[in-house]
Parts: sequence; structure tokens; C-alpha cells
Amino acid sequence: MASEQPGRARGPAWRQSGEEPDYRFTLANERTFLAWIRTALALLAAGVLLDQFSTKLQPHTVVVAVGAFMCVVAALICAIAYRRWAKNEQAMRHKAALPHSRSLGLLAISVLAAGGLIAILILMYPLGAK
Amino acid sequence: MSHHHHIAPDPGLQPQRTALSWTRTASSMLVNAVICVRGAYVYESKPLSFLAATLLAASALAFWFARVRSSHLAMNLRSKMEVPHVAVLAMTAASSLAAVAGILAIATNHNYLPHDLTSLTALFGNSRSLR
Repeated sequence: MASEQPGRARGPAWRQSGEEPDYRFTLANERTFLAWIRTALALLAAGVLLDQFSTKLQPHTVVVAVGAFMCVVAALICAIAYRRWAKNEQAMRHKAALPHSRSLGLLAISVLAAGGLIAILILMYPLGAK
Repeated sequence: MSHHHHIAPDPGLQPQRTALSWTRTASSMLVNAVICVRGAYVYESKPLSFLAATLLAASALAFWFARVRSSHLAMNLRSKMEVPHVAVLAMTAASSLAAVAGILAIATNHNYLPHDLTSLTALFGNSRSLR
């Protein structure tokens, strides 16, 4: 139904295949995408601010590395967010199961690693203080 | 015909939640743009100033799109519920650009890059001798 409307010919090829899912699913997928983007932006802000404001944490190379790592993970999550959104959209159009994704695992491990490292540095700081 | 029909208002307020989600994301983008503006001033960096201006424009665009999406979704027309593919792509691109700005800010902060970087060739060439 309503598959050959002239106005629908824009966008990627997968938007012409299958049929339009329940609009609530489409909106939910859109919100999930935006939530991932916000997660990436939060991680990015944290990484940059960590580098700019943690001037007393030692060794400073580790702090810089953690900040840069958080920026890289944020960029990665942006790409993953788009991919996930498109894959989910395609699956919903064909009434297929939503694809499995490892992005939650990546996010959890990255935040755990960055947070753990900084926690160790903070705990060690009084020992390294002049 | 079925494409342009009115849909019943959703008791779960999905259209409202989706529009607000765009506003929240625009705010997050604005926070990152402001951090980039700070970096551009503190390091007096030209590429960071350029990126800061772009990110500010991107967050303004995102706020504007949040309003557009909000009014579209409020019409309760099935045709207006469609996926905003261009906006999704643009948001992905802008966030990736913010990530690039973040890495650039860290690199400039620790003098891996010259603060008065003027061209892309300087970025990939012997950037240290240009200082």
C-alpha cells in the first residue's frame, strides 16, 4: 500500500523496499539514534574537559591518552549510531528481528576502562604530589 | 491514499517525546560547540575557531530542526511521521565533526599542532617548523 508515491523516491534504496512500519516504531528508532548521539557527545565533552581541567593529575601522559581515547570512542559511537539506525529501519520494514549489536558492550568497556584509569590516578595522586 | 490519512493521537505521547529528543540532542551539541569556542580562544587556534563556528551553526540548525519536527509531528499526519533521513545524516556528520574538534583541541593543547595552523598542507607537512 502507498508504495509507489512519487514523493517517496528520495533517500537510500532500502526506503523503497518492504513496507512502512508502525509510525511509533519509526519514532522510537529515531529517539534511540538521538540517544546514542547524545551519549557520544557527552563522552566527547568529558574527554575534552578532562584534558583541559585535570592539570594536576599525574602522570599527565595517561590523562591525555584517556581524553583522546574518549574522543575516538565518541567518533566511533557516532558511526555506530547511524549504522544501527539504518539497520533497525531496514529490519522493521521487512518485519525481521532487530539486528544484534555489540555497541552496548563497546560503550560499557570503554567507559569502564577510562573511568577505572582515572580513578586509579586520583587514588595515586596524593602519593605523587610534591 | 492510506499514506495521507490522519492518525489517532498516541496516548504514549511518542511525537512529543521524539521532538523533545531532538531538542535535547541540540543542547548537547551546543555544549560541545561552547567547549570548542573556549578552546579556540584559549589556544588562539584558527582551525579550532573555524570548527567552533561550524559547530555553533550545527547546533542552531539542530534547534531549528527540532521545532520543524515538533510542528510536523503535531499534525498527526502519517506522511509527516516519515524518517528524516537527511537530518539523521547531518546529525551524524556534525557529531563526528565535534569529535574531530575534540581531538584537535587536545593535540593543540599539548603542542602536537601549531596554534597558528593556516592550511591543511601545514597539518600534514612539517607542522612543527612553521611555528
